[in-house]
Amino acid sequence: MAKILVIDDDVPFNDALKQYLEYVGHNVVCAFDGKQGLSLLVQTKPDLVITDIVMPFVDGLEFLISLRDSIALFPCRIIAVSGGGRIGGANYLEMAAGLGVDDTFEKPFGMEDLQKSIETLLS
Amino acid sequence: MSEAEQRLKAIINTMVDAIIIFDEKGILETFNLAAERMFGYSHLEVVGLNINILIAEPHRGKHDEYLKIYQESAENSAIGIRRELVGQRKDGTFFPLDLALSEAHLENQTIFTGIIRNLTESKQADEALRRITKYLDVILLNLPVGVAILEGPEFRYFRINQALADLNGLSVDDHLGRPLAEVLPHAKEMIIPELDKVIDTGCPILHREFSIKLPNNPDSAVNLVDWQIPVPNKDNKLSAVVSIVVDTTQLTVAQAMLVQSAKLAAIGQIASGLAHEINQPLGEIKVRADFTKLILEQEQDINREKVSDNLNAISAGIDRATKIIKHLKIFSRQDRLSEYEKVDINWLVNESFVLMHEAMQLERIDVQKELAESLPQVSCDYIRIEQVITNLISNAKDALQMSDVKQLVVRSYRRGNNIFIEVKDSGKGIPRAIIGKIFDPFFTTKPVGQGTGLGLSISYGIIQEHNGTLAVNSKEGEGTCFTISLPIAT
Repeated sequence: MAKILVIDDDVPFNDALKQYLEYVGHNVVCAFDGKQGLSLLVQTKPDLVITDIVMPFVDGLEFLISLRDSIALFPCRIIAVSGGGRIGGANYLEMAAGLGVDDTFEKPFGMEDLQKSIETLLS
Repeated sequence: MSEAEQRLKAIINTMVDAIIIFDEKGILETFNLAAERMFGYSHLEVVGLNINILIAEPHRGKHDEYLKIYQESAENSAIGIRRELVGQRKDGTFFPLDLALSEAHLENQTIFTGIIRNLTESKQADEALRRITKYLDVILLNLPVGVAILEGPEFRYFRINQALADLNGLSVDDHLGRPLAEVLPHAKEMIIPELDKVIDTGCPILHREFSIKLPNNPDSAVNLVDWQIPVPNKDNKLSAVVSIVVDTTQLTVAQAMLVQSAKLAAIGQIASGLAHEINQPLGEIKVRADFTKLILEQEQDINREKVSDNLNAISAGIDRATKIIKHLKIFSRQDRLSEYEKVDINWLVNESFVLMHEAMQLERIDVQKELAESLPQVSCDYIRIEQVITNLISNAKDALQMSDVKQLVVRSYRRGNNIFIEVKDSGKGIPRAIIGKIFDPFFTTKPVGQGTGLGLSISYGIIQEHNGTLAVNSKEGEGTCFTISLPIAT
């Protein structure tokens, strides 16, 4: 089973995702903003990162930019999730996709779909 | 020629007015220098000729008759006559003249002395006056704004234009010459005391807003704005009033619509933020629901506690989403009556952030709340006060967009019998030149399409309705602080 880093400032969502993923057998670490996410990335070297986009301090897009610069040091797959919304004309998830994430999900999404994506990405 | 005669001749010749002397038959005897200049004849050319030569065609033949009438009319003989005629110059051109005629009886003849004045200039002035009066009449009549001129102690209509006559539901003629109180019975209480005051004090009323029911439409009131300007007469006494009236009823409706559209625009602005906010709990609910399903499908001996935890979380998530939706519904409601309730202002400050939460995060604004504990409650229409706080927060957010330091401090505290709420940003501040205008309706510094210029003016109105104050303190380069004060509930 995989080591997954979940980064989301929405505590109840973060909590639910952690419990689910642990239930299906993954090893989950949680961060609540991009800054914390980066330090946990370095510490735990996860196989997969599931990150939200709109977060305080360092948001998901900044996190993704930092990650892209150091992906060689911390090889992992990336899934971006978001409650939707836009900056100017661009959708957050489209922007995330532009930053090289492997898959995107807009909240609310089905866990079977997420699980399938995780399996594919980690196989 | 005797010395006396020479003296007389010299006097006559040097008179500024044209002077002619002729006998009973109209034969010219004297024609002075001014007359020469006026008619273009030398006295040598006209002395001995009939005065008719100086008079233009329509009057020419009749002159003999005038003379006859003059001679026969006893009452005229004493005081002289004066009439306007058209003179003809030697070159054939015409000009208006005023002829003052008097007679003198000598021993064996009667002579007539005429003093002639050229009326060309005064005629031109009359014509100019007539034209300007005509123009003013046309302007007055077609002005879309109601105008009337009221004269005398009874304020009789001297003039009124179509717009005001229409507003009163009467014709222009219905007004002219009649006293105001007779034309508009309702004017007695509403208008006449004001007009009396204008006349007494000499101070005009400039832009008074009032609401009145007019006789032609007693069911619905119209909103009017009036100006009453006293006008002095020739003795410099105030006796007339120029009255200007604008019907702003339509405008008031349009303004109300604009206010509503400003609110809708604000909602539009937060709509995407709202979707995001609602998708958070929905995201969680979906995970919990799928989780529960998974447990039920996979476990033989079902872990009831886990299922129950998930269902509780789902329930809490639904509450979270409901709260956001409810909030928006209240915020956007159109015609609700004011409801005053006692509320804790700190709770209200926190509520105000519900819809601003995402926007603050997106702009990476460091929000600090310094809310004093155990503040007494405030009696207010809390939805509208929340509108004000939300508006101030939203403005602060916009002000911080270009700032390096993005700090928003919201404070609450008590001073005396008032509760204060401060919304302070670290933006670039408001320039001195415009700080006096920021509460004016439709004043905005935001790009076209982004601001209606109504937010602060509406906010100001709301706080005033609550017997509070909304003040601003801003230093260029340091930021802006808006302070709301509201009286403590009794």
